[in-house]
Amino acid sequence: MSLFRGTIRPSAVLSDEAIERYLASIRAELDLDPLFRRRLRGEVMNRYVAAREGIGVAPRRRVMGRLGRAVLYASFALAATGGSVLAASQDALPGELLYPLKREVEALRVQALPEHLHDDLAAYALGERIDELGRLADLGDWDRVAAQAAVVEHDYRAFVDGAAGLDASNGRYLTVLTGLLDGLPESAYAAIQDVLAGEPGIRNGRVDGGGIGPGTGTGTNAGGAGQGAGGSGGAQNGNGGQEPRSTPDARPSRSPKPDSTPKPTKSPSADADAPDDEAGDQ
Amino acid sequence: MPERPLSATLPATLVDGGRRIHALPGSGVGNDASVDELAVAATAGDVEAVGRLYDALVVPIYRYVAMRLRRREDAEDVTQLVFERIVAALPRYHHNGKPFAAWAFRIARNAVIDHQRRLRPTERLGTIAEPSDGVLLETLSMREEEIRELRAAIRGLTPDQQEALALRYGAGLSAEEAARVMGRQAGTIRGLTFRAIEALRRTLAREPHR
Repeated sequence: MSLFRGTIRPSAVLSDEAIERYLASIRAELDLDPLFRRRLRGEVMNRYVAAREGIGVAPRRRVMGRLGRAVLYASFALAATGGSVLAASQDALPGELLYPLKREVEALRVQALPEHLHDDLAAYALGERIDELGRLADLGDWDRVAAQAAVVEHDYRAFVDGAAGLDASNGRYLTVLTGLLDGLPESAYAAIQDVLAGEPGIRNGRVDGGGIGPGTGTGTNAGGAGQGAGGSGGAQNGNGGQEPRSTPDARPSRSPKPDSTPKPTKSPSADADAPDDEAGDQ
Repeated sequence: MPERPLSATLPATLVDGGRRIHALPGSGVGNDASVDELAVAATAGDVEAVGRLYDALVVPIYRYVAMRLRRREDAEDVTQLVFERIVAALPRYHHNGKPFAAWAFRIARNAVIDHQRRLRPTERLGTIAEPSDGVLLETLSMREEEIRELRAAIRGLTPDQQEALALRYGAGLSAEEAARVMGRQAGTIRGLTFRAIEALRRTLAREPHR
């Protein structure tokens, strides 16, 4: 117990009016990250179109590790990213069976929306790539991280070229990617460094080799769209983004996984129409 | 195995002539449309109305959620979940004269409660230690200490008091609007707010200045 309790704080602070001003100031503190806001807007639009077109859209709730989260947050710094959640194969990662389908749905979705909304969708798609990057980092799959980082870099450049005023926070994006270097195995280290160096040849060579094309490219990706296991059941794949699906092709052996703990499933009870009542107030 | 054609993997309504799909109609609502009008248009398939609805609601909903939760990343996750639920529930929404915003905030309220229930088993009683990872709301503030004190004091309020404060001061709703969200009378909300402020004043008066 302090001898000074209650005597130091200026009395003016303790008035009800001052408390109300404090509360109002908290509100001002709760500013929405404008980049998150735009990313989420893209996601909302995508979900709406998907639902309207009859594609089942399962809620995608995944818990990301710290590293993946950091990478994902870099997407906010990238300026205007699009969010997440496509219909079929929404949780597929590069190199997995359903991934090409996911990219195809993205491209179709762009066609579904009016042209003046295409910027939002481009941001959405970029956010998807970055989200995938974060999830791969969580899995510790550094080979695919390297390839995906190149895709992100490529798409980001393309996006910035197509939209004005989006390069302000490029520095933060590079900082986060650079931070990844600390945890990389040798094989991925060089790839990431090359990406950061922005060598055009690296993009075309390594990424194409890694099978993760920046375009919509059905069937051009590693993991083989040709396996055809996806079908229309992409939305019901049940993977939920928690575990990577096996890939039929031979990929380089994975490096050690520093952050590959299993991710618990978040399963929101989506009963929007039956709000819970809290216990009585006092 | 050969790749399956896209038309076999997507609903027929989406694919037209191989790769073309029907463009969605433009917005039929005026620039000065209310939230309720936008909601009606959105349920009728107006994609632009959905975007404008989002624009109108995202900030107050986020502020409400952020005031109820402690970490920015949690607030963003829950906000995202809220809009996922809103979009999913839009087809079932029928405007019956009650404000759409109240309906949306009830979804937000449920999402916050769900989130807190999930967290509760892992939280230690009596600790206000902040997680080591993630971006805390407070860290973004220039008045870090005051806001931390105030937020700690708010956590000591009853759930309904916290709810009332978040709706009034976070989302900026009136007592009447907050009452619709909480399913109470406006007078009850005013009472909750009054008692909450009184309790905060007492708590902060006891709090030694650090």
